Amino acid sequence: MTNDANAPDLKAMSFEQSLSELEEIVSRLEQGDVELERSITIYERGEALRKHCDDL
Amino acid sequence: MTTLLLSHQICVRHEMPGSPESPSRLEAIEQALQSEQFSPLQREDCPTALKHHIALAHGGDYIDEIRDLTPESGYFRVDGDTTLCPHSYEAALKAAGGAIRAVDAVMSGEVANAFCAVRPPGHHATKHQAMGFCLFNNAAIAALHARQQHGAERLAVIDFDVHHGNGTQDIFWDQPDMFYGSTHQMPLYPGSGAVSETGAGNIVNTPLQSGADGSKIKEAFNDRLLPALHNFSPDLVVISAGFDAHIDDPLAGLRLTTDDFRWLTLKLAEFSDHHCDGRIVSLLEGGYDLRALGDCVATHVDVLLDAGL
Ligand SMILES: [Zn+2]
Repeated sequence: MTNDANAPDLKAMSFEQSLSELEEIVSRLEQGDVELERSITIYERGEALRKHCDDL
Repeated sequence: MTTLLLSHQICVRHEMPGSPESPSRLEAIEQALQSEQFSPLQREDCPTALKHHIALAHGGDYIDEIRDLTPESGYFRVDGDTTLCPHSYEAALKAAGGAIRAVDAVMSGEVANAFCAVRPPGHHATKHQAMGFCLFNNAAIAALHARQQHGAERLAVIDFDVHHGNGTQDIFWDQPDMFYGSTHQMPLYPGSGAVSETGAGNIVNTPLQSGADGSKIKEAFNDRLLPALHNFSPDLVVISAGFDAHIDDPLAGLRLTTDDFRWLTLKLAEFSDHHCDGRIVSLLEGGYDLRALGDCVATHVDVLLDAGL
């Protein structure tokens, strides 16, 4: 499970790493496998990853 | 005629440690509805819902399951979001009871419309599962009660909470006379709410992307939800009134202003006025920034009061 507080720093992540974490996040959100309270944090991590992938 | 405001002190005593779905939400609303402009409200305590009311949406055994899970002291964790304390069962029965009383008062013409400032919220509670802060599905119970008790034939729930009401969709899924229309952020909890989820043709989902503002939700209402509601032609409109699509809300990423909630409420009041004698029963769902929640509920109730005059 992704732990947001300890999520690896984006700057240090490769395109492959970012994409695979992003895919995992999207699939968890789609399956509803995330709590309501933490859903937005995880979604925002996903957005940041998406942007990181685009920028690389 | 006036607007009925239902709430109950027990709803304030339901608490889930550390959760944003906190007792202070109702205190913020009570505060916001203190001012002079709200003195015409008819204020009542929620009665307690009965077993057969809960069974309308959840089947006969579900109420006992929730009762049996409720601890005598301490807490019982249903899922990562949903916790029962010793007052939770009673609070949930008051929340659903408020919905029942609201329907009775509106359908009999005693009041023009009604708002229930209650918690726990309801729209994530499915037929058989409490989840996402929700125990009993107050909106579905309200709509099904209007049909069973008041001879209403076609009932609509409009849900503008930022999360998809998977529970209401689940309960209405194969019931063509029960309409469910939702605007919500997607992807986000609970993961459901795609346009392709249409049930028996009675379900209209309009997902919005994170960052969407008032113009996008107005577009969704004007282009999809209101025309579908018009075609469906309900006898009563039940609103799942969540205010967590507000720009200040910590749990989601939509960017609605308090004024956008005024617009949404006005549109629904206008629709009800033309199509079902103004009959609206509105039920509190989410909304976790206390200040925004107070402002939005005050605005929402202000429009309902005006519509009832
Ligand atoms: Zn919500």
